[in-house]
Amino acid sequence: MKAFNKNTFREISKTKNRFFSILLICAIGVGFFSGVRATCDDMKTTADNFFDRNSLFDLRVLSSFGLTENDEKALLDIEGVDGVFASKYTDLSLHSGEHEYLTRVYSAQSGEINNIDIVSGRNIENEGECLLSASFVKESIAGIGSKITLEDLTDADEFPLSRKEYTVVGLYNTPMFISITQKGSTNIGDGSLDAFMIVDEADFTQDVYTEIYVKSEKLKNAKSYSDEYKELRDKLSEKLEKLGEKRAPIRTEEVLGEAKQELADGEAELEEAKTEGQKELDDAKAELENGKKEIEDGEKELNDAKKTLDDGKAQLEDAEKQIADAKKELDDGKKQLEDGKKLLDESKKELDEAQAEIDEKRAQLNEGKTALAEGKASLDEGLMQYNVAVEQLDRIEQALVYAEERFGKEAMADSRAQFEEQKKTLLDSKAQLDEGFAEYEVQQKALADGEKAIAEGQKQIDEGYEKYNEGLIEYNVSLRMLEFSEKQYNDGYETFVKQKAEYEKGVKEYEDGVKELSEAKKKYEDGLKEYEDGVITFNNEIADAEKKIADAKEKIADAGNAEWYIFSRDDNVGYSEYESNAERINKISTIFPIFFLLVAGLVCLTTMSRMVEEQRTQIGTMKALGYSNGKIVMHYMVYAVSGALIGGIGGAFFGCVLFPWVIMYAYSMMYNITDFVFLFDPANIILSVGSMTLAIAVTVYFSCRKALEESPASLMRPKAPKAGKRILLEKIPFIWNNMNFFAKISGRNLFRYKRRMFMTVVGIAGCTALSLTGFGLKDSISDIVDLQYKNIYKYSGYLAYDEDTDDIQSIYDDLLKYNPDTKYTRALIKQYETKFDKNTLQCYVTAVEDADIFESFVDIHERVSKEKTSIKDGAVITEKAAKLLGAKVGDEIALSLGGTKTQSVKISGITEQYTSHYLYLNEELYTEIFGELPKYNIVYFDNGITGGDSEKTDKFSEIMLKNKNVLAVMMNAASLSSIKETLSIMDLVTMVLIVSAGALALVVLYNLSNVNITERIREIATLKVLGFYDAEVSSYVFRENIVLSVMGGVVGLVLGYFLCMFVITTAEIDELMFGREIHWISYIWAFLVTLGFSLLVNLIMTKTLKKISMVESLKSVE
Amino acid sequence: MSFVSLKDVYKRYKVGEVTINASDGMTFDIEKGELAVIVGPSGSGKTTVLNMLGGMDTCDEGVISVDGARISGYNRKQLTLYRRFEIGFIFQFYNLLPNLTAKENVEIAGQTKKDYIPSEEILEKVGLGERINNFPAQLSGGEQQRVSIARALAKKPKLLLCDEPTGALDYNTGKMILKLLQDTCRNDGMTVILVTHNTAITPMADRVIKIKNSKVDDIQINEKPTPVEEIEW
Repeated sequence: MKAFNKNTFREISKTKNRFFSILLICAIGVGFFSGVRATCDDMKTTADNFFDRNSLFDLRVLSSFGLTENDEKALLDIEGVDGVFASKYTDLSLHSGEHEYLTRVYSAQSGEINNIDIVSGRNIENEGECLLSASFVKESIAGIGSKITLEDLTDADEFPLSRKEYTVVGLYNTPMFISITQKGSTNIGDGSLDAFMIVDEADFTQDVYTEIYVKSEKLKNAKSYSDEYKELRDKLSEKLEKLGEKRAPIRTEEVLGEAKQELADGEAELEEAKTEGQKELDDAKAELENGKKEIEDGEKELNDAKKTLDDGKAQLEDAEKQIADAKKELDDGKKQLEDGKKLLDESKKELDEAQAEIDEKRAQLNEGKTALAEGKASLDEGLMQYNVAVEQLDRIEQALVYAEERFGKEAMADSRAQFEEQKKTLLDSKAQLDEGFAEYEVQQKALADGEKAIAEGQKQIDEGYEKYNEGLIEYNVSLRMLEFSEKQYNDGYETFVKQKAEYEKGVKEYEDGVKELSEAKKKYEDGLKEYEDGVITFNNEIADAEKKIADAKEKIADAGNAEWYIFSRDDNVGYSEYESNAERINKISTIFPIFFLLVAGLVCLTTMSRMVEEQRTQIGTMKALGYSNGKIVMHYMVYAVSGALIGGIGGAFFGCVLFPWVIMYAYSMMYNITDFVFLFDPANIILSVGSMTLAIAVTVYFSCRKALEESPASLMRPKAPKAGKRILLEKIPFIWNNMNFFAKISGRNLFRYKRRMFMTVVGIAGCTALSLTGFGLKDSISDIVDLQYKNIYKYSGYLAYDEDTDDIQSIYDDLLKYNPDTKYTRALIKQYETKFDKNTLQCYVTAVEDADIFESFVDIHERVSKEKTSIKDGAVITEKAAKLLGAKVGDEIALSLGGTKTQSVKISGITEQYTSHYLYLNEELYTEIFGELPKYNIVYFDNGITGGDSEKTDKFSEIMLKNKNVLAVMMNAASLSSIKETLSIMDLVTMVLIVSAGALALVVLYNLSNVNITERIREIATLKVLGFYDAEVSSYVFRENIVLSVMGGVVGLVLGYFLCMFVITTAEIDELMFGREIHWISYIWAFLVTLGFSLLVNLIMTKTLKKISMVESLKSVE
Repeated sequence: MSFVSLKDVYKRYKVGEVTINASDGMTFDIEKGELAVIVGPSGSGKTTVLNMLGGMDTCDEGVISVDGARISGYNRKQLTLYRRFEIGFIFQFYNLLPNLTAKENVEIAGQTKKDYIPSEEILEKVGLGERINNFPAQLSGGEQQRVSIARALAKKPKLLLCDEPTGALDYNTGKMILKLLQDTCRNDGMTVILVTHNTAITPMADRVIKIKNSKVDDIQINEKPTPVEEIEW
């Protein structure tokens, strides 16, 4: 061996620690990189082997009209088809005990394709036996020996099997359905299959096959999931399609020919019946019309008669009135006449009386005249006497006045008084005389008046007599006239009586006519009703017949022409899901391991730079001795690269087993794929080892380059230790002055070796980031359950019921029976294929009857902003679904049930959701989109059962399942625990991450500390010489380490957050959305893990420090 | 008993199959307050002796005692305490901590002992009062060595051990350093042991111990040591 090489190998044995740390770090980096990278291929190869071993079909042919043995033969004739197997299946509901499941029932499977593997029990031997898929039994109670009942959920007339009850005799696995959780869709029930079973083919009532499986040797040789496989498969598929184009019309003819003929006959028959019926109806109608006219005429006549009668009646009434009037007039006339007569008689009497009176008065007057004349005579006498008396008195007075003048007045007083008295008496008699004369004048006048009055009265009486005589004549004339009128009246009365009798006869006749008419009318109406009924019946019958024909037509049209559908394995749920899972691991394998690789490379760079620096003198010597730069670089290359190679290759082989094993083991809980394969793909190993080695070679080159540029002489001089510098912190006296002496030193040291500081921080940050990713991944996965079932789902569970029932009330009653406070609302859940852009996704469309209650059950809100959205405002889609579809609010997505019919829905909200995909619609919107009211099939309820209280749940389920309309009861508590179980798989993967990150952290820190110590070995030795205790020396060194670890840790937490978010979004499976939050405790854990490893490394390093020999260390410079 | 005494001290290194005697039964004494120079050619074992004396290395056989304490039997812990409290070391390459200023380099030693000379004072004494806040890289070799001496003296050691203190210095500077050491010995009564391959400086010592092939070849006592200033080489 040449001295040069010897030197290299001796170098390795001398610096075992360094070499080993390079080796180890490469091993971990490469191991993780290659291991995770290999996993995808290993998974696919394991699956490929499993599929080949179990002869999984390559292509599957379905036809809308079923397939026949001839089709089978034709398929086998295709070049490249090496095996065919025809099978029948039907989707039914399976009852086991109280439970109900959706199952796909297959006819017995052949041994050539889709090999089933009976894992326990035995194959079908007798009638009425069946096999059940093993993965189903894991989660239910229908074990071997149990009896199950099948039920058809469609409205087909005929049950597809010849029997309904089976006994389970064995459990099987089939390569067709590798997924334990996902079993595919069906068009019955809630659309998602729970189980598979196999029964004897003879039990199927249909005689055509449902599907034919095709197998090809060429494809078997190609690797499943590979591009080669896909290409070959597509070619074969094309051939099959071509055959389909030929075979399908033949089948169409077989099935549809007969149906079409029948249809034509039916149509003709209908046409005939139609015309005949119509004619009959028309005749009846004409007859009715006639009747109606007659009735109308009669009615008119009757009305005329009525009018005539009414007129007659009025006339009669008038006549009667006239007669009565005439009679009254007659009577009045008579009475008047009589009264007149009486008056006449009376006035005669009066006249006579008045004559008598006048005569008497005349006599009286004459007497008065005589008396008056006598009175006049007496008066004339009295006047004469008076005149005498006055003369006498005047003489006396003369005497007296004499006397008085003579004798005095007193002496004559008496005679005066006497005279006065006589004068007075004379005056009185004069007044009496005047009176008498006045009275005489009055009476004279009265007598003249009386005479005049009598003359007048006589005149009047005379006139009265004259009048009386005239009246008498008038009376006699009137009497004659009255007699005439009486006769006339009697004649008129007679006529009236006659007319009246005639009128009464007319009335009677009219009434008979009316009665007759109403009878005719009634008859007519009956006839009309009969006619109308006839029309309705006729129309209904025709419509029925037409509908039947239209249905038949549609059926034929719908059936269209038989068409072949060619499916590949990609259409198999488990098969394609497994591929995407493998691809997901592949995705993780791009960023994650590169991180490892980078950290490893960085650490190696630090190590090698240090090494080169340490060996300046040696390099100088070599150079001085005439070795070329290349040769010198070679020395370090060989050192580092051999470490990288040994470590890398070892790590690659180890990693290629460890990581795929852990991941496949984890996935084996979800897929029935056994016998793991570990591939040591040279390309992968060369790539991972090569990239690591190359990275290291480059670092070595760069480490050496600087040294090699110097002259041998300068190299051989010891490189002055890096000068000390004041650090920024010193400019802040407040802090600096308060730091203790050693803290100051550490502070300055930290910043002295900036590169090492950077490397250490990056290295530690990387490790912290990786472990935070591990913890964060664990958080986000375990969060799903709580987020989903505590923050979003707030109801107790839901029950599925027979959607055709009209007795939903009984279910409500039962719900309230358990708890009267139960809140509930109905919904329709159906799995649809949603499409947006080019993305397709299976999504549960949920139409809700009462949006308010539903929103109190399911908290509908946007995840980040926590903003509530409402399904009352439009369609709301779950977050992951929106993300997978690439749809945003306002986009329109298409819904279909796999057929050609699609509906389009506009997204108006996106809601937080972690399990499954939903599209929530309110009733109105559903109706608008699908053109019919939703056919509700489940009831969401909240009855207070929240946790996994099995006693309450059992009691509740018992009540509900007694209701024959209730198909199944699903409690959220149960779903929660089953999801938790599924997710525990991921714990293993995260553990791998954390442990790997930890291992890396350990190695990185160890290495960096090592570098740190060797770099400063003189300092350390000096301290020792100065009499520092071991603890003081350690703390001098490790104080920095701890500060760096903390810095790295903090940076790593930030970095880790982003790494974790990246990993979460790439690693999560389509069905689930992982939580997006890392718990604060995880940050603490990740930080503590890093710090813990840092302390562990310090502990290890303490020993190394102890061992440092002062003499050796200080001597080295000489 | 002398202040420093070595008796039949052996130190053996095993390199592969071969055993090398770095100290082959050395015996010598040094009195308190003396400036002793141990002189010998390269690889003669003089540094080994100094290391053993300084508690940096242990002997395989024989007795080493300092100030009456038998340090050859010390365990690790005792040796550390010994170095900490009783020994001052001066190296050819100074071994200052590059990241500390002159003052701090002195302080770091002082920190180990309660009773120490304040760094400013001691630096003043070695003639570096002006530059106490400079980093080693900003100081010349001689200045660095002064810092080194100040560091050693700060904790008032019983014994000052110097390993080729002038080996990396030019003639004049070297002389100044030696003068400093001599002064320290004379003025402070410090016992100084100086290791060198340079026989020319032996006249400055009170006692010269010549070593050859890991053995003491000759011990000379200079009754009248020459002041450093007068020595030429």
